Amino acid sequence: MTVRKSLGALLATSLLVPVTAFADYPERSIELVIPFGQGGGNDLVGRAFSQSLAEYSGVDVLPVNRTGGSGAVGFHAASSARPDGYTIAMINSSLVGNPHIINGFPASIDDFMPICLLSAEPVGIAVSASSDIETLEDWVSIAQEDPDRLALGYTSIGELIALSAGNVTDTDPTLIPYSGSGDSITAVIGGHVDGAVVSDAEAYSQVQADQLRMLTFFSDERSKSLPDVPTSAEEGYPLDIGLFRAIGAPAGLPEDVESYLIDACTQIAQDEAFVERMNRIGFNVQLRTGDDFKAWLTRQNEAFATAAGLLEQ
Amino acid sequence: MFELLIQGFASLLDPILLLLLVGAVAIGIVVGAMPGISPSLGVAIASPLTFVFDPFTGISCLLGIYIGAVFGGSIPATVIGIPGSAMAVTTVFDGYPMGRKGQAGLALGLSTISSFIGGVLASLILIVLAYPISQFALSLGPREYCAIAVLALMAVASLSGGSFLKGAIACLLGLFLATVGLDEINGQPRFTMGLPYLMGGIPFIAVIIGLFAIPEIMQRFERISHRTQPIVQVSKVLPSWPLLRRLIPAQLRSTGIGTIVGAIPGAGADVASLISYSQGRNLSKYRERFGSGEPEGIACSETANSASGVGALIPLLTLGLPGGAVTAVIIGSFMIHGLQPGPLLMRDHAPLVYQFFATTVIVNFIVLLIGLPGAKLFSRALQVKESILLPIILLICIIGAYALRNNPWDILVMLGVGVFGYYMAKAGIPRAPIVIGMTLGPIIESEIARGLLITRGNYLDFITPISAVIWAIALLPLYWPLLRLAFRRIKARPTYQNKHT
Repeated sequence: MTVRKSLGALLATSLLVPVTAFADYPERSIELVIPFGQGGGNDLVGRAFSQSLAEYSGVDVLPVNRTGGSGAVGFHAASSARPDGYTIAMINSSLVGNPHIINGFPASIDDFMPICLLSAEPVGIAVSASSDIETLEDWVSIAQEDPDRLALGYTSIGELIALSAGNVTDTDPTLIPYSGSGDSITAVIGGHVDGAVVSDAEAYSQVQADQLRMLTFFSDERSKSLPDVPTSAEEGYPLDIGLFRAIGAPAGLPEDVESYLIDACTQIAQDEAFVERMNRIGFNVQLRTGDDFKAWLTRQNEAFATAAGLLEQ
Repeated sequence: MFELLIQGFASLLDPILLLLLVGAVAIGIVVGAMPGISPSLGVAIASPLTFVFDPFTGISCLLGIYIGAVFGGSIPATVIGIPGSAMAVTTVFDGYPMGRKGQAGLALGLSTISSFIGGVLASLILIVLAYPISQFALSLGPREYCAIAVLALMAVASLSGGSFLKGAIACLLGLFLATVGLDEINGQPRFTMGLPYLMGGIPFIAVIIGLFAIPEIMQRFERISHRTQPIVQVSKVLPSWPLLRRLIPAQLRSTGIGTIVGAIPGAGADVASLISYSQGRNLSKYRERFGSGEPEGIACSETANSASGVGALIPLLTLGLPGGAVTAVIIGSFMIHGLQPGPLLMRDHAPLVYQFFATTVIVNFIVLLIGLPGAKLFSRALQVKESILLPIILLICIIGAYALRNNPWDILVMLGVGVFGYYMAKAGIPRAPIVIGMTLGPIIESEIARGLLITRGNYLDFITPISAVIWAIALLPLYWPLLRLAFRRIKARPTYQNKHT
């Protein structure tokens, strides 16, 4: 009988555990999956956030880089983890864009519960500072004159941004893929491509050093870190599509855990130390949570879906 | 400039800072010696710990870990025949046979001295020629990267250990394995069988560990018995002067190759050591001894990978552009310390940049100071009873396979590849060419594609003046026999005529 009794007890506790766990969330360490490698933007933001979340929650927050396949490995691992709040993930524009361009990408935004947006970076076209292309208008007129003349470097879902940009400006430059924004910036400065699709954070230090010139950002608002660069809308080509860094959890997260994490995000985004750290690594904190964030994500997803439609043409 | 440099060295006279650097180099050596813990992973883990320091101290510590880790890879390569990372594969080729011949101490001593020479000379080049080299590196694009990778691919001939056909087969297998996953150009999945895991590609580090460590462990288990193991001699560590003098030309050449290849954004220390090793073998008087414990092989490989580690700092410190994976992590640390890496760093923080220059020199001296006494200690690992040593190695391999991507499947891949590698070893198929194929395949493929996109599909434009020179060197082994024959004919003709007149 003791066996049956202990089995019963085991069953009872195993049924009880989730309930009590949610009530006291968090009571053990939280894993933050970062689907990209060390040293990149997602890694830096993820590590800054995990440190602040650890201070806020009082439990360890372990950033874990699960890399490979443009985020496929990490996003898949995070989305298939148990939705108990002990596995959360850095989600970004790759999660929104990749399912549109990579056949069989194993995760999409629907597999995640979006928690909070930490930063959104406007993306635009950068050229070498020594280039005679001074404005977006110069770029467009050269590209329309001779479609074969301009080569535009991009990284990962930058392809979709480049295609959307080509669509609104009626240009069709040769698109050249690079494996990281550092590589595409190097190629621009070295004169191997005419321009590159990069974000303000990626271009910032080289623009300051007068090596790169940003022609424009494809955004409704001007960049906070490079406010002198006009938006494409100001030049007559309205387009709002960019990169973002956010926190998400596997879909099916209990409501109390969701609201705990949203509260945590809201607090962290106002924390001076976090804001300061984000600024240092080149990111402006831009908080969105709850329904506001979900609606924003839907708009981003539509922009990427439209761009992917261009790819198929 | 000279004053700034002196000031840079002076700021390193702080005893606490020196102690910190010694600690950082020691940690780096351990990181590098652990198979699977790459220098970039080590630097990334240590990076947050340095934020308590001021930027100079913090980043100097990271440079210490980085340069220590580049050297550390030679230790398991020599002692147990497992390269800590791809850049130490060529070290295994001569270091491990030397160890089996009872010269592990000497082999480690040689790799320490070679790393030191490569590191210090490359640091001096960094100080004097950083700007011209970074400008040269920037002028190279996909077409040149591709030629450089093909030049490195020629190392297959040197690393086939006798049968070139078997080596070529292994290399093709490596090239194939590298195609699994998302392709570099269109981002489309290849050979993934719908598995998300395979989208990330075959884990490269797990394959290296599996190929080299597991067969070695299995073969040693076969021989294990309760009889007392013959005591492996730990030879003297310091090489004799005549030997050292003989290696100097190879070390100088490898420093040059390493520094330049390291500074090029498209290629890293693994490519540098492959090129240096195969060119070294082609030029050596003792070429037939390469692969069976030739000190010159160790010198070529270790000098080049250390020089390349320092060379990667050239674009970082002058232009703020990453010269490789580790420097990308270091750029992140610069930013967290509130420094914007880029050309402005030199303008706004010139004293700091010269302090970093001085640090790279000092850190290489610390490598020498730890490496030489350490050589004796590390090679004593060979005297540990195999029944104790082998399980420990296996455990370290499992941790190493897991650590890089935190993916348990990587361990299974490592073990599976290991069993495959065991049969390869039994069949006499060399394993290093697989690693070469996997390292270079993605570079060659994506650079060809990028190069052709840039030339708008024009194959004639694919050859640029610089790449033509590199192609000529790379393909030299193919046409050299013909050239030699032609030379002989030309030489022979007058004597032939003389006889008959």
